Amino acid sequence: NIITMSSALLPKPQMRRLLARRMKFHLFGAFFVSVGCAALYKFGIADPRKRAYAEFYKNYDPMKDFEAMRAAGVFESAPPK
Amino acid sequence: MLASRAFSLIGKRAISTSICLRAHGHAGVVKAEDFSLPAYVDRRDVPLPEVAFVRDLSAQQKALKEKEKASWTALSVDEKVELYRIKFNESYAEMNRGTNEWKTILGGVLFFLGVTGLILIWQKHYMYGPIPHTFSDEWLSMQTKRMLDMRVNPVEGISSQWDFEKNEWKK
Repeated sequence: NIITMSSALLPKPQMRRLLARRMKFHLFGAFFVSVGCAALYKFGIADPRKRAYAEFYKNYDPMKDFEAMRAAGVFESAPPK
Repeated sequence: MLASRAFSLIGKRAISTSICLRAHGHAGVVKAEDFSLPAYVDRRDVPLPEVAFVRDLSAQQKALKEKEKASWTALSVDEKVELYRIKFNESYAEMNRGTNEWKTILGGVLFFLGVTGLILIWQKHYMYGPIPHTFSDEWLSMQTKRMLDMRVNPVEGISSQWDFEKNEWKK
């Protein structure tokens, strides 16, 4: 038979505040998961992207870039010299 | 016409009502079908079902139920278990036990994904025509060169991976 009874009593299981305990666990969890995701995005994606743009435009010379593109022959209105 | 026929019956008192009742059996009550009575159910959210599991007790079980009316300390462990099994079909542990169904489901999903793959292979080989000429290697290299000449996505994209001085991809 699957149900067997021992002569000793089983310890009384937790009867009260079950939802409160679950809620506390999940509230903390949700908070840290969201903050973690935000931090990962900021330090993994947002900040490197901002740095990449700053680096690109620090010493950017648009006229030099334009002349390079014109020499390659991509413009219809500005043919190569 | 039917109304006048009914009137004639009542008027003549041809059939007495008590004879009618006796002919039907019980005062016109229909036997209750099983599905209309409260049922036993093994569900997690129903800890005490409406009826006991065993409906018709054997003589031995009836004797046990009589013994239950006395002090419970007189019951042996096996008798207590037997009383439990009269009242309930499966315990919560039995009711909630896992199955191997996930293996069947996973196997079925993977199998049909495989069948789909075979269908796609057959289609590519026997059904579809040639792909456009713009997918050839020559065209793709001309296309990429034009994208670099135009400085497409120079900050983080393709043009940022090309070294324009050395004329090669950045390491």
